[in-house]
Amino acid sequence: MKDAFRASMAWVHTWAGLLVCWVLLLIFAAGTASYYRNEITLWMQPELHAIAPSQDSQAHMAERAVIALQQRAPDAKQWFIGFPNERSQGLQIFWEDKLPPGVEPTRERFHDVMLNPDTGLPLEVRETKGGNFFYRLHFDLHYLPVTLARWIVGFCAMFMLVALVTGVIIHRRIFKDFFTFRPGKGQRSWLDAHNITGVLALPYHLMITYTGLMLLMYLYMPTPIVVAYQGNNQAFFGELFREEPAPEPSGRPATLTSIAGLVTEAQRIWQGAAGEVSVDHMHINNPNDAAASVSLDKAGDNGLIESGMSLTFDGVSGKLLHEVDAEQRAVVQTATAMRSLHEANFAQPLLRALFFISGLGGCLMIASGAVLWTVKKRQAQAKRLASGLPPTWGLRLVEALNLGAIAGLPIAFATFFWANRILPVGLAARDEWEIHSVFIAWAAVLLLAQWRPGRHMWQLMLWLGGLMWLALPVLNAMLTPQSALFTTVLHGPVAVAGFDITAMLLGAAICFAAWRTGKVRSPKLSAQPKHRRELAETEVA
Amino acid sequence: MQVYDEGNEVSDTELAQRNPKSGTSGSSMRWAVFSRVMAAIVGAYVLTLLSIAVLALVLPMSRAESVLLSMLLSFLIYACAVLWVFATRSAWRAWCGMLLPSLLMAAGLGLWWSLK
Amino acid sequence: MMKSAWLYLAAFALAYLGLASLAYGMERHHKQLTRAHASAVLKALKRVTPLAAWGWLLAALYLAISLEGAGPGSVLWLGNLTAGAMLLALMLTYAPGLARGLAMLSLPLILLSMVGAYWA
Repeated sequence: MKDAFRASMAWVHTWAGLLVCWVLLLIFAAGTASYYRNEITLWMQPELHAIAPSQDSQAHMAERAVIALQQRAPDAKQWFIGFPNERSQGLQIFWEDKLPPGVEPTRERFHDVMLNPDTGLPLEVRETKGGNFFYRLHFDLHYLPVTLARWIVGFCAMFMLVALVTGVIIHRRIFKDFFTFRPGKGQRSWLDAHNITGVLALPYHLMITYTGLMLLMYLYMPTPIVVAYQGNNQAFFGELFREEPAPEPSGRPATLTSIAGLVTEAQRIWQGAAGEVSVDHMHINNPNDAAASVSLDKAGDNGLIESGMSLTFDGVSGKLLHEVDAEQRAVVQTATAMRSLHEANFAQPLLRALFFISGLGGCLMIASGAVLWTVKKRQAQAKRLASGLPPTWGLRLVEALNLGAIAGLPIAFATFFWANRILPVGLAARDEWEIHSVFIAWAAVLLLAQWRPGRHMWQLMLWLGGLMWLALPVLNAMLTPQSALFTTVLHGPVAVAGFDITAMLLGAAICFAAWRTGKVRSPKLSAQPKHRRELAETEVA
Repeated sequence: MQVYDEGNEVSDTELAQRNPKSGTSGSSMRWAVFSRVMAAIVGAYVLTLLSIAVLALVLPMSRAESVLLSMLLSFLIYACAVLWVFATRSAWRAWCGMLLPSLLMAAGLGLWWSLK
Repeated sequence: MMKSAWLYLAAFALAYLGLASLAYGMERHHKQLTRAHASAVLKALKRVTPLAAWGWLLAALYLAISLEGAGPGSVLWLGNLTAGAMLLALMLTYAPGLARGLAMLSLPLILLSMVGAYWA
């Protein structure tokens, strides 16, 4: 009975994992990169590297942002001002066009510009999506309608959750094999690699999968909102976050109150024993209208539960309309904590690095699991293969997909950064072309993999990927010399230096994998009697 | 001396033999597997959707919090239901286990809806 | 700033030491960590280290929580465990001598970082 249970769990684990592993790998890799979304964006905008962090007050910055917004979009539906912080040095302004009634809203209605916080002038940067590409890719994929993509991602994540739980159930030796990795032993080594990357980062994997599903739960699990709010998501979120609905524009023009004054006022209200407080971002609804309102959100204090404090003022009289205090309700705190765990918003640089390492572990777990399946299948088909017959179509398909997805991934991601430095700055839709080049490169690898899915192709693609990553700092130094590693190490920005160093480390790791792939192991080793292998191992040690 | 055992490896043939549906012919086994997969993906999803709807109504918290908590629990419920579908003795039982509670809860919700 | 950098290092070293002590008590890894020297002292030590390991791991948790607060501190602890275990597993495979050396180094390192944190 117990064996039967374990066997069916093993079946579920195998197929739940295999069916979605390639998409899952993409989701995991993109998510892992998203931990450094701001740093990636900065690397991809070398024009900003020479700018020193602003020392000016937020009130002055807000003033400059409002001037810039008044010039660009005096009758927008809403404005947004994002203040510089440790991870992003620009002053961000963002606005949403007011649409005539009956016009279908599209993404085109949103605009954003990065300003120099000290001058209020727009920063001249190359067009790029930067780290936001990975962030969007992580749950919206690309080239697909957003809702469809999110359903696909949710489907894969649910498979992942099931694969994780069944994986724990069928792993008989979690503690005995805790630190065990035995390379060069074929199937055994792949299983070791899969186990070790899975088990050692298991808390992370479970957390990231569950909280990831949670982030889009209103889409996947709509029935509670249907029965309690007649399906009105906005009503639910409004009640949950105790938000007042934004007032409709009155149509009567009015002069905005001093935004800088409101920033100072908010800082005064929040000023407690905690020392200096700052505003994270602010919204101005219906600017230059009699029904204008301004809301400010307090910057988080690096806790798991974000501060969640916000103030809303009347945009004309400057009167305080509404105040939201720190969250007290346990359920909401839990949900907030789960969200910030997923996004690592609370994490300082070291903790963020640990999340990044665990994310890489997840990528390796998925990849090694996928390869393990083919290694097992090859062994099961050993007789057939020995007699000169080709592998079954299923095995060949999975082998080719593995090669294309796993070895193609580093190439595709590196292409993004290569394109960022190589594509001419004036190119039309330049940011789109950076992204197209990712998928063109990936498609090329997938095709090559279908054509000849063998060890040589693995080796070739891994070398290519590894060298592309290793060469990124060189490319950076050649095409944007002011951002070269030896400059950024000495004079900052730290994030750019960190990017170059990480790229080299990743490249070196991939090259190591390529080198290992080249050293074909004789399968006979695993046929040796057990004690002889054990002896050999001790000798090596 | 460390003895290698095969750890968590289970070969596919072994699986086919040990599968809860053992003793049946190939094609009916394929159907049983397909049926279970459907019970896990569709049946367990329906069960989850209905049980969190009920939860959202009965949890002793404010409306927003009950809705939030029931949605937070949904994936746990779904995962447990999926595991049960594959752990139970037959595909037939798996479907019963998904559909009977679903019908009950659907009836309860229908009643609540008509009373409201 | 410098002070907490020392303490973060100590938190990682404690986690690593705890994991290495656990490995020391396991048959396969004991051999890797002792070069298969089977002296009576090492045998006796093998029985004690897993118990000590839980002490190191708890100390690592305590330090992480005192650095970051309960929530993020536990996350930091788990992260340190994951990274430390991955490092240890890799070294046990490819460079057991290094794993041994780092484990022996970590105790003075912890003391040193405490002193460093005190002085900074």
